[in-house]
Amino acid sequence: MSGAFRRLLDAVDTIPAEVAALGEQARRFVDQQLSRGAFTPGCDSWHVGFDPRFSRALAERGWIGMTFPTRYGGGGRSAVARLAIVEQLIAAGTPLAAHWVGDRQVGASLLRHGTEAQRARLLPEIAAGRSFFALGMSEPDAGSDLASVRTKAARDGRHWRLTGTKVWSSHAHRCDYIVVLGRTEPRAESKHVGLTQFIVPCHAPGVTTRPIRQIGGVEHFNEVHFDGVRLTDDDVLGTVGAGWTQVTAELAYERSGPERFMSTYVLLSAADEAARRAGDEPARRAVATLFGRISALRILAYTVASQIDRGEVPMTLASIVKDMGTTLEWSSVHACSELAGRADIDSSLATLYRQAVALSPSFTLRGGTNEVLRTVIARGLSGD
Amino acid sequence: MIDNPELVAVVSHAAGGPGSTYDPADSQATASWHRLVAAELALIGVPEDIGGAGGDIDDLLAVASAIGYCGASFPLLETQVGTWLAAELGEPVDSRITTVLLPVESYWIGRWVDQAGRVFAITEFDDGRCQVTTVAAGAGKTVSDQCGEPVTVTTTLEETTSWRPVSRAAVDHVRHTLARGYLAQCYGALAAAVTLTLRYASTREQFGRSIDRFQRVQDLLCACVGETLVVEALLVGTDGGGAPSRPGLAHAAAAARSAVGAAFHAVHQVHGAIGFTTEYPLHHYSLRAIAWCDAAVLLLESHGSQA
Repeated sequence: MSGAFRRLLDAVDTIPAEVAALGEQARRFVDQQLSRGAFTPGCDSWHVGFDPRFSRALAERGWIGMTFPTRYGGGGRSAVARLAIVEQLIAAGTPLAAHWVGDRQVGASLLRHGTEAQRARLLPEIAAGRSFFALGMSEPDAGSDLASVRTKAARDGRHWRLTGTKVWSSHAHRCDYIVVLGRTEPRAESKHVGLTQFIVPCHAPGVTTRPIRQIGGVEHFNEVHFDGVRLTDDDVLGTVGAGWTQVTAELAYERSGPERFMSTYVLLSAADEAARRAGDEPARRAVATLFGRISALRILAYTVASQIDRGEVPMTLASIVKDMGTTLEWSSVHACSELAGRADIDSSLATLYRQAVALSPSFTLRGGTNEVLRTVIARGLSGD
Repeated sequence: MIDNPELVAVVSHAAGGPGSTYDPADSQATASWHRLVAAELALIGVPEDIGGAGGDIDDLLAVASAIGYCGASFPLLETQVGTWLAAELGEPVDSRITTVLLPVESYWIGRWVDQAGRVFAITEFDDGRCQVTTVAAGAGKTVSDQCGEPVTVTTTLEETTSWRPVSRAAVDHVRHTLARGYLAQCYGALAAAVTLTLRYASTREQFGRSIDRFQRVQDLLCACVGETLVVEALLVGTDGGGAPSRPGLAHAAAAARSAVGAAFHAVHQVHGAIGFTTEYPLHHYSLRAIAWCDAAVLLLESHGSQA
């Protein structure tokens, strides 16, 4: 058996015992919030639902920054423990977008690459649900080929001047900071060298955002322009010139979570309920297939989380989970179409279905298209 | 982790090469069966103090995935589970081939019935009571499934002993263990098929390079590996790790069928025509994967619908 394939199979394990109790806590919280009308369950709410009040309620329970060290206001918990809470929140369609990037990605980056001053300043604010982050990565001419970004940061005495344009920056118009990948050294033989990450205040002079409306009417994407934005060395995240390595190291964290296969969970739950009431066995079987697949991906996601907790970087398995999970999300929308069509037009099922259809093209595009993911996976399989 | 290289080596040595199939008329196949028995694999899961080989469900699944990885067909799982049932009923524990006819919808179904030295049949009543008897082989219709294993379906039984009560828990154990065992065999066979496929894709050259350099082939390899991981995860998860607030078994059945079907397509697509012939070993694994998945799904769906 090929070494890489065997390592993947060998890694798969049962869900840790601690998960059940944490999940129960999260479900009780969700039920309480629902009964208070604190949110309306929606598809993809972890991504599109920006609700600072809900984020602060989570922060009060210690559910943001769970994996940050306690000295930075975090919970000092494992990636597995975070997953146990987050999967329940996502399954229930709760609004997590405000704190999501800071909690899932930027916090980990600060811990790996940030200065002590940056960690002390920003991590407690993230964990308290007071500071929100966006990402400035893709550009009009640099999507899948991210290393070809043209946004530049040039030295200006003791400062930097940032100039360029980023696109698809979710919620940048409402966030406090945007983490920007820019070129600080001329493009050399390898385009991956000479890139640097900056933590840019969204309201700094020279930063302007323009909303980009998605199909379906949602506006969380932005085009963000940087017109000679003045930054200091204190705004550099990590090492000048090492931005590419830093960015790719984050990918295992953001590729395998339940947000990559449970964005449409509330829709599937509504469809299952409708099929049950109608006695529609073929529809129930179709939905059961998807729930079963979610069960399997859930186990793989916990496997990745456990590996991260052990200090490993499970890039191949994380990419597999994202590829299969987002494909499942896409197909789940269309699996519900007939049931939704027969439901009342203003029913929960029909409403969620319409919402999900408009969101569905993004599932297999965001965070790395599935086509790119399969290249990563294939490369990982060939490594013996 | 389910598979175990040392165990695979033991099973492989005992069972013979891929495609080995038990047949009492075939001296090599019967010799293989005797080697499996001599290696104490036929009584895994039966307590040692009553003559079994001991071990728990994890040991049984490890053996099942090993036999699947070897691409071999022997009534090993059926004998393990059937003998466990015999022990529960206070009947003799020995290594004769034992199998169980389980009720599914309006008929009984079982594997290796005509080759067995002992056949149990179970009946389940609407009020939750269960009964068991031993039956003679030969009733009903026996066909060879996709991989050549005999499957018997019957609506009538020829009892050789009286019906007697058996606990619901024992019946659930039999059904659940057989289902998980077939899924483990399926997983082992898929893992072997995918191993063969990865190796083939890295060595087969067309247009001046190995075919695993082509993106569309890479797509298929990703599917092979991903779907095998899904099956493994489903097997790990049928111990209760279902989706949030969802039961595992019925959903596992539906998802297994979909995953195995996709993997079956992908391994054959990568191989092209050669994989479609009996001159190449892929079919020993791919057809077994489908057959055992179907066997597991049949039992899981009927169990899940009763949950």
